[in-house]
Amino acid sequence: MKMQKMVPLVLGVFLVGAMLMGCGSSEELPTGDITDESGSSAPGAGSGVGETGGIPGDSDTDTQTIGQTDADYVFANIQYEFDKYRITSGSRGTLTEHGKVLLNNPDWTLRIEGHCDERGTVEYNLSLGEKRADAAKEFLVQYGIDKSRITTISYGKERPLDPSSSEAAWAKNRRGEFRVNR
Amino acid sequence: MPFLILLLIFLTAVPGYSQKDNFYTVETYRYSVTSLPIILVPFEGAPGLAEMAGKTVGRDLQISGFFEIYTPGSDGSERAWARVSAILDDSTGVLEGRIDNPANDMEIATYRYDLDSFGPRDAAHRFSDDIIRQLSGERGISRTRILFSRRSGENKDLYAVDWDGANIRKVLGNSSLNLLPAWAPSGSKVLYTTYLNGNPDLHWLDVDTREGGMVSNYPGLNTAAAWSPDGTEIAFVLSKGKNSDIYVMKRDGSKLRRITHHPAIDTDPTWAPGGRQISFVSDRSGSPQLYRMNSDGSDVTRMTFEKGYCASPDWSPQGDRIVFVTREEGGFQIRVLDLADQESYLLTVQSGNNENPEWSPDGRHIVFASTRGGRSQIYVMGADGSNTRLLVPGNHEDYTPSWSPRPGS
Repeated sequence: MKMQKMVPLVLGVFLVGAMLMGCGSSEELPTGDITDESGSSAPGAGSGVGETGGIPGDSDTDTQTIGQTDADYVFANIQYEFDKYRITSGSRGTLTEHGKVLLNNPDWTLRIEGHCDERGTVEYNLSLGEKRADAAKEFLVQYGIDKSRITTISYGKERPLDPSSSEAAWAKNRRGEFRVNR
Repeated sequence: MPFLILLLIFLTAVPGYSQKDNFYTVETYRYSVTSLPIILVPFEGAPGLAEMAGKTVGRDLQISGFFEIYTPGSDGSERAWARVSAILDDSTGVLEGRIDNPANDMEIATYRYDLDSFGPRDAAHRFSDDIIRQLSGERGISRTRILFSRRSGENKDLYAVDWDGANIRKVLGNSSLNLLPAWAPSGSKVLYTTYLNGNPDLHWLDVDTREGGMVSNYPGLNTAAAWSPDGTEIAFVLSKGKNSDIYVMKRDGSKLRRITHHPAIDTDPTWAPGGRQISFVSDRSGSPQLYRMNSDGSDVTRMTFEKGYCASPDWSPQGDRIVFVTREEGGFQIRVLDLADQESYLLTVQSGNNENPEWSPDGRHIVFASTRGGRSQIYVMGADGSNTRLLVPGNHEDYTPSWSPRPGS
């Protein structure tokens, strides 16, 4: 399937990446890991992918990966709508990318933090943040990540990225953050 | 309340007495009795100490909302029907307070407070409560305190402050997030949510002895704790990593039982004074609204309808009202729901967000957090929304206040 086809691609990308980068970076990445991770992650990948609406084109992914490795992968935040916890269509692509990297690296564990904007009560936002984090976890579990690798925590509205009171700040603060133990 | 009726009869007989111009009437709400005119004589005795005690009593009486305070001989003082004075003698270690009738100098009552036992500030607060008791018949709250959460970097510490805004002190700082303190209905213990061990757990703390410990640490939320009125049970929220529901347990952690069973968010419980009902917030209708249920979880009924976001309920000590927040034009405001007529009344109109309202133990005041000054700070207002005062000035960000019960003697 797709993931199996990607094994040589990922390996190739890694080799190109290692050549492009300085020796400092290559020290962090023993080559043995890549083959192991790709091989072991392949079986779980199939079922979840179809249900979540598919992965963005492989060629895009590959070009994005050139010059970097999973160790450098940035787990970007995802955003939510006001007083909502469902995963938006805009966040599905980001989560899918995260899922892909996690499949490649089965030893990595993940903590998803759910955050809210400043509007609404402390208590309600703690519960909302929990549902946001859980929705992101469910997406990744559906994608094929073993649920034992993912924990969640809600910070409600306690840890805003931008403490100002504006639509832009609120949108930024309604987020899921991904803390990966690599 | 036979006494209340007597008081009302008496008050309506006082010349110059007038009812406040708001939606609470004296007949319905005893806390809106208007000011009793009294004369406060500067305290005599030990220099400095006597003045401090006098100022403390004067502030207590003023913010209690019961009195119209005159200095001796000032315009209007002839209307006063009681005169308060005191002598603080530090050689004998006694604060002796006196209430008399200015018309004939006849003594109404005298009180003696041992300064070695109480200290001068607490002695002054005790005198304030005795004056309130003698002249209004109500139990004062001059010795109560308010606990709140203060931002410190990305964490929050717990602070306590006396009801008059004095004596602010840190009671918990552990370099983590400490939220939502809830003071027990008697004594000095509080429940709060802390991220100390990497999960929002429920802990207890004795504000006076600083002892504390873990109460509940299920994975996910352990939060929004509310004591039953008799202090034997705790309603709180567990999410188990997914959806928030309300649970009740004994204060020793035994007999844990789930009382809401809904895939929507259920949170922020508050007990009715009798302990037989609980109000809470749920978004089961699509937006956060107030509900009530029996304390075993049966008979869930929706209470609010008119606003898109209703939350943060606190049931009044008299049981007749619930204060809560709604999302209005321009921010969150505080409302009170009158359970008799099922109407809600707006108590705040300031811009910014007004949040986490909680009744004083006598139901005459409401403490809350507001961003009206540009950042979140703690304010106190009358139960009808009048006489708002900034409780804790300064450049800090303060949140989620909880009012202590009256301390024991």
